[in-house]
Amino acid sequence: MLFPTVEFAIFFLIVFFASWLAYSKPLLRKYILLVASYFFYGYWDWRFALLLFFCSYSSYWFGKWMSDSDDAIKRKRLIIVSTVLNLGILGFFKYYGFFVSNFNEMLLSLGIGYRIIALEVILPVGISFFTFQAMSYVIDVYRNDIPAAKSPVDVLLYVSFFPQLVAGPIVRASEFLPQLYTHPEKNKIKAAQAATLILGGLFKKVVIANYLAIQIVDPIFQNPLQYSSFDTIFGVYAYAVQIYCDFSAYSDIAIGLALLFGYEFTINFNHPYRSLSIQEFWRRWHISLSSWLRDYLYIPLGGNKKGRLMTYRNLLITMFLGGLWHGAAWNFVLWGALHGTGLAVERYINEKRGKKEKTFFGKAISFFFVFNFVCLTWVFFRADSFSTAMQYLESIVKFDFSGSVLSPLGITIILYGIASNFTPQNWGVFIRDYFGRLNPVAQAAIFGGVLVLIGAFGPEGVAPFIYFQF
Amino acid sequence: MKEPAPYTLKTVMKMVVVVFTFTLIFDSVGLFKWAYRLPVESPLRSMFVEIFEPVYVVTNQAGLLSPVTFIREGYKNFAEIDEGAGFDLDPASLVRHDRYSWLGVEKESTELLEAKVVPFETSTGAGSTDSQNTGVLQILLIGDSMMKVGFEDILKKALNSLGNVEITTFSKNSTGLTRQDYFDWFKQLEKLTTGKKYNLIVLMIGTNDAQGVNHNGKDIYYGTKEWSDLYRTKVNKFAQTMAGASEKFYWMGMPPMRDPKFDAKMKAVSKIYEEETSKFNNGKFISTIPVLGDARGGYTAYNNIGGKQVLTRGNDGIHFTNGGGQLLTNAVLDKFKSDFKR
Repeated sequence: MLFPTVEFAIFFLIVFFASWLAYSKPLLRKYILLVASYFFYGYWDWRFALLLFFCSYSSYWFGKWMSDSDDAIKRKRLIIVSTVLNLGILGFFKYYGFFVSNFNEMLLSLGIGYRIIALEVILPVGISFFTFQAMSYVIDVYRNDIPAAKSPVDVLLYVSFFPQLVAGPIVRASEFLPQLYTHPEKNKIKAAQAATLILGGLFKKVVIANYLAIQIVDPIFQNPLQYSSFDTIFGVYAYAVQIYCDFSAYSDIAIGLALLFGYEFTINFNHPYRSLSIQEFWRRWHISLSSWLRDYLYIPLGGNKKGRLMTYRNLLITMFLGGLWHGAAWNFVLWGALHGTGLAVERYINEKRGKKEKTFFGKAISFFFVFNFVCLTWVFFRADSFSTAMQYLESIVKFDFSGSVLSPLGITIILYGIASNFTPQNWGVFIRDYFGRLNPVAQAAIFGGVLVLIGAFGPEGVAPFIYFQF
Repeated sequence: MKEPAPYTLKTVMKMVVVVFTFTLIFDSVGLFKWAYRLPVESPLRSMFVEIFEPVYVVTNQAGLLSPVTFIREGYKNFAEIDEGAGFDLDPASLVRHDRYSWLGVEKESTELLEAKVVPFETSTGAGSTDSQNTGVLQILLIGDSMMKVGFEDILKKALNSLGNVEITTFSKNSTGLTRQDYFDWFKQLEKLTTGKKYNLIVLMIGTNDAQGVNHNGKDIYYGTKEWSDLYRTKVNKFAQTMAGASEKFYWMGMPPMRDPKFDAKMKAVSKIYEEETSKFNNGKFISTIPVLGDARGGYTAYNNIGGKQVLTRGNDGIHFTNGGGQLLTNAVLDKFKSDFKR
């Protein structure tokens, strides 16, 4: 069930009203949200709802056992078992085929006839997100950052809450669980804030991301060698805008929907392409994942506290695994490794250069390099294979600027998409607040009107969000 | 500026009613088309059609849909968006006009599938093609997501590598021959073949076809003889158009599917493709079961390519990976090389 569909609108309205009508009975309200979340998940494939249940229910018990014990060794064993279990689930469903086929190929190249049986393992939608959320809960309990949940319903709902279940943001247990313990106030629904997030998200997904995907990105990435260098350069810029609009749209809609149920999540994107360093990019892009990797992987590895070389190593490992998190393919691994290397090189340069304030010209150069570095790595992220990625780069460096299939509208949308990253941060807040000061009926009429217009500008059919595959 | 004040549930409920009313009035065509396109087997379909059809008729008669239609058409022209002729369905043709005669709604002509099954003797291949003048083979690749995902691109590259070919492609996800109310492949094929002769047309379609359809106001359910007869007529009509517009056409059968029920459905439609294609001298049915099936012709996600186990099917157990697309491409190239002496 995809967000921009009539099916989802009907589903959401039923759940919204049912949950608020059960307002006076908090446990019933949670059960309603829980059943709705499992229905939402089971809509893709109900069999994996059991996996989701197992993942979250086992996390509840690990949290409880840790909370009941003062024995540090026992707690450590529990966290290890829990982490291995969650990573094992993720590893089996997401990476089994990838590792087995590569392992078998390696055996073949060594002249060894033995082969591991290549099972077909179906990848459950959203598995990377919900396993990370489950791990976040158990680790936070282990670190005593949060108390263990008293009721399994809270953990089950935290992991499966449908707005962010299949494509994030990866909400932290310390952020969501305390909200589940309190009683959302039915007369304090932040409708204006939610409406602007939802409308903005729908606009980005249906109008911009879908247009760029269909008209520019998909055809160029299908056969890059058939296009001029101008087209392939703008093709990758178009993808940069597409993936930003697509993914941030899902996050915005998810945050907006959660707000309508009375739960507040932090933003997942913050003008990422205005970054002046790769480190800054990762503080603005998919913030919930990068902060997850920082807190649960980079810092436990030692972060930047164990010397220069170990810091570089930690950056590389973190980004390498971050790349692998996105997909079981070498192009994602390379994408992560490139970002890890970029972060390490950037850190080295900054250490040599010292803390000097950049001039306007220096900032412009930094933006240019960071943006183009990020775009270059998107080639590996988007291409369906390593060879296609290399063909894409070959098409760029052939320096053939003889013609273009891009329309003025396409170029305008790409430039607008990049430029929108440079708007003052408070513009969105201003629009939201201005909208929120209108009469509620006027707000609703505007919402309805914009919804109809978004539908008019969108393509026939609904394209799934890019991050569903992760 | 202060953050907007939160609202009471009562106010939010009123806002939802306003949004719904607004959408219902100005986008009733979208809601009506959505309801109509739901699976014929679903009980929700008739319920939603009953709700949205009269709203659509009234708002359409009142001219309330014109602004959105104007904006949509204007934008598509301006942005040069061509989603295919198959989407050009006039929703008015879906309306049960007898119910709304009191509103002055006139019945519009609807396209009926009156094509008769073409006997073997009368079928003919295409006449002269552009290639007779230029030496460049004209090839058309069409289909649903089975063509689009993992196959089309690889086949196109392989054919291009042979040289002297000009390839046109058109594939559309979620489409098929059954539900012309969603996407009319007959119109699309007509658009692609009008005034143009191809040396070869390759078609792979069918995953969305094993479902019921409303035909001339009557619900026809999958699995009935009536459905099979109707579908066979459609397949024949499609094959007839391809036969007339090409020197050769290849109709690719459906591969084995992971889900046994879906596999049985795909085998049933493939049988119809094979039987109908055989009625045309210039038509060839390419069974994909020996290409992608296991030793017994059953579903397998991995196939042996050059001694390596390669994943050939997608995560859904339906579509192809690049490896699967490569095997299908090899099967097409075998036929192509013998038919066109390349």
